[in-house]
Amino acid sequence: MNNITSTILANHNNIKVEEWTKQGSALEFNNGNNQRIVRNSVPAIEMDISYNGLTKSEFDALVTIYEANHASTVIIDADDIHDLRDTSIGLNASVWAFKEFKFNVVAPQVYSGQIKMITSVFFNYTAYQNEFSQSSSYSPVTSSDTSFTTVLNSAQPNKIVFEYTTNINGSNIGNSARHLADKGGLRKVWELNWHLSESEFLTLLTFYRKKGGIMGQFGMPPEGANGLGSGTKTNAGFMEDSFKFERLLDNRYVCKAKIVELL
Amino acid sequence: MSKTVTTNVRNDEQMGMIHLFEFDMYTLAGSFDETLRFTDHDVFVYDGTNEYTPLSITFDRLTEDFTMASDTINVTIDNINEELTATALAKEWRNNRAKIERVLITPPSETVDSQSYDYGISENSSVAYPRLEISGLTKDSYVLFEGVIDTFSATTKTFTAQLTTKFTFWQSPYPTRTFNQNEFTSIVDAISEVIYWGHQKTI
Repeated sequence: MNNITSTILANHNNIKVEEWTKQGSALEFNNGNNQRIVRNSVPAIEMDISYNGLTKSEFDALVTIYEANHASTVIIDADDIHDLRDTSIGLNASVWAFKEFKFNVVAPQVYSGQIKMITSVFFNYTAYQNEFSQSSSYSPVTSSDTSFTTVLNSAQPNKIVFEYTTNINGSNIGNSARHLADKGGLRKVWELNWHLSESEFLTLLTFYRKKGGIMGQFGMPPEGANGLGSGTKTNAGFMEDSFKFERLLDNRYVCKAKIVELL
Repeated sequence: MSKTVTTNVRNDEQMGMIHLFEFDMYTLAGSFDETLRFTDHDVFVYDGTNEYTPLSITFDRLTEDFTMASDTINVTIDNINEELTATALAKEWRNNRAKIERVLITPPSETVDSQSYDYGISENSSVAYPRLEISGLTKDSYVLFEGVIDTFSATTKTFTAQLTTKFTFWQSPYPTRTFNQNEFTSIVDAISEVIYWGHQKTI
């Protein structure tokens, strides 16, 4: 099990926390007493970690740990939010699972976003880990197609949102995750936002008409745009079979599209 | 099955409730193989003899009427990684003992960082890993349900078993079972061995 404490807690600017303790349910007994019944007594914590103003390399570090651990429980010693499990149970009990990963980058190449983690009760002890095996796979299909990068040369997005779509089977006890099963098929999803002149927009619209819908596929730079990095292009397609755009009075066009990796 | 409940815990206002599940597994050849033990608590539960594995496990509300002809109960167990399906298809669950035991405990107190909590996280392990050991705790435990597994169905996410009380034996000697095509020929052979055109074969 990987300890990702230093990477995940570096550079964050805010953590929103919700903690559930002594989760129970009321059961009626005939003796008339007010009885409180605890079902799950190990606290469950969800933390929503926000990042703002990250550089590309700081963002890439988070991407790397997400892709390597998206379907596995991980160790985070979250002393910042006073997670006491490592004190009361043991160091191997401070385990978490990824719930959400969403970032965006705006024109001056500043990354911001958030990662949502949930506590897991699939502790890092042999007795627990031997019950089920966990792994996290990510195998995008590379592409040498340059049709979309050519379009991106003229139709440059002004904002890109990064997300993933996962195929994980998760199990839970109370509000905690228990263990996760990787079913393969982790895929990047980009949402590209544009503000374009008419000629740039027409290039994009023509491309959408050629490659939109379920049949089209093309090479997509992992950074979502040209000039943000030199990652290997992967096979991708438009996620939605409609394209909405808005024509402004000054002959400029505003639009956005979601693009998903194809495996 | 006993329904006697002592009063030591039930008068308390705060209690912990955990359930212990036991399923007997037989090999397809018909000999006893193992007993699977699960709990719906967050951590392992140890009763002094056996250890129960924590799993996401839920069951229907049990209904029972005056005739004692309690019907069936559905138990849903987490089947992530298809571990249970693999076991279920390699061994025989059906017509074997299934038991649900309810344990009411007073959650043990706990001191963390010199702060004492009246009711801790119900983890008083004497081994290296988190485990609730209930043998030394004030508790009531009683069998909620004891019967046999009738049918089961599974998806990659959950495993659902239908449990039937022993009373159903009064009406049907065996739980419902479907026969496959291979078995069908031998069943017909067995019938026609003694039954001949609607009357008992005499020769």
